[in-house]
Amino acid sequence: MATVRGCDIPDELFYNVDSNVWASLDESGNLTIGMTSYACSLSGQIVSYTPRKVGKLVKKNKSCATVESGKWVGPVKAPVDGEVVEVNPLLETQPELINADPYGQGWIIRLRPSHWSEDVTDLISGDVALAQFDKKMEVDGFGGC
Amino acid sequence: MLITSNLVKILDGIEAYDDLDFHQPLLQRLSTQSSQCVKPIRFYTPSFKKFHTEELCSSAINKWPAVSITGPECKLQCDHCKANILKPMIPATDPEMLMQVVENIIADGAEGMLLTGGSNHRNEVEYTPFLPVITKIKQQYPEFRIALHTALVDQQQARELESAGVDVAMLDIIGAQDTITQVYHLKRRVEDFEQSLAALSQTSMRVVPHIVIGLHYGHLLGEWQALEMIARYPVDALVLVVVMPQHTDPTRMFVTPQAETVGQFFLDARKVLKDTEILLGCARPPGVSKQLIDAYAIMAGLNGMAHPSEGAISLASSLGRSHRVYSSCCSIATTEAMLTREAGHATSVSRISVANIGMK
Repeated sequence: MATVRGCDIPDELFYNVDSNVWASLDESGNLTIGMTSYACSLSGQIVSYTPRKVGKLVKKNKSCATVESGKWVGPVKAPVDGEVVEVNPLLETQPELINADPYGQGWIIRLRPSHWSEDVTDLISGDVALAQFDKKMEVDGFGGC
Repeated sequence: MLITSNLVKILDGIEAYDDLDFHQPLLQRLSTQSSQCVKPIRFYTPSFKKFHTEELCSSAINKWPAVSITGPECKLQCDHCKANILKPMIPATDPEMLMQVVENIIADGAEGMLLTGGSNHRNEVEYTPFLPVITKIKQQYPEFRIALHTALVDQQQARELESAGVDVAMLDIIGAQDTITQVYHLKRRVEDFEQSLAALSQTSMRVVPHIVIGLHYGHLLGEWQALEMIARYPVDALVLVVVMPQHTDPTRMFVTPQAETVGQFFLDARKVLKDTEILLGCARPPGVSKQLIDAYAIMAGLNGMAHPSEGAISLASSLGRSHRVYSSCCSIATTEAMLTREAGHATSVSRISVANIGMK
């Protein structure tokens, strides 16, 4: 598992660094989306999770879920256009899973991408992602996870 | 006249409300109020919580921090809070520390602070040792505003806070003895809350009482009595908040008040306090509940709201309610003078701010 300033950033995932989200395409063509550990560190303990409903169309860089902590409330932005196919049932009663396991049980939402082959070109992964996260943390003045 | 079907049409046209189930009987009662209230509404984004929706982004970082003179500690440990609300606040547990904190936050751009602390067993926040430094702060930084949570006070204590230069006095008003005894574990009376309100009303401080809707384990009990008590005094505004079960004692059964119950209380408050500014404060349950509560607040004609959730601004616009955003605590900016000063920092909400990058 790669890390940047103490934050886990798995290098096999796709990222939108500006939105601080990760994405993973599965064999069925659905895209699982979640918050990065960096985002979780910034937000603090999540106390509420409100996803868009199954069947809704979401636009790239628009909210696909709203999360709230004691010190922050804001959107989780979809990295692609798509239709919501699944929300995480565990998070309704255990939103803290987002912080505890952001890349596993704390996934936020699953979309069926509308234009994956186009939208994927705006996502990054591997060493490029690690470098961009490091740069973002530098600009943000972030001390580390 | 805006009838219910028009109101439903408006709600249906707001994308953020696609997934919400509004309470139809309440909408019928609200439709009359909505049609009569086209007054402007103010939205507040005080900086003690970073805030970002599709409609609004709080970029006024550090303008209104919250400071606790007891740090995270509170002896009262009321069931609805268990001092959780103090935990994210900046601690300033002695006068020298408070002075340093204020100087630091002013250097960071703060224009005021919310000053509070944990209570003793009589529901009093022990400000006395801090009064000299509060006086000094106000003398050195006269434009720096202090909104202070007083808890229960007598006349002398109220006068001392006034003399120190506190701008706004806030306290929770509880109208049910059972709530005081069971939720607060307190051997005080409903009358003590009214007497505190009376004492504060006799000072030159702006008085902004709060009612915590659902304080009795998520159920409404003394809220209407609290409204009646407040109606007897010349307060500057009333702030309504809603109990948040995630902060409550996990061994006590707190339920989340139903949004429609809260919405009905907004209508009741508007009826009792026709000419008083009524604001919806920061504390309310998150998620879908918050969106519904916020929508009901706008339709019920409340005058302002902190941290409006997704869809709130669109709804206000659709109902013909002009709006501006202020970066201050809602308790501080509720008079014309304050609003005029704050207007220099207010932003129109005609643009959607995307100043936020990522989660910051």
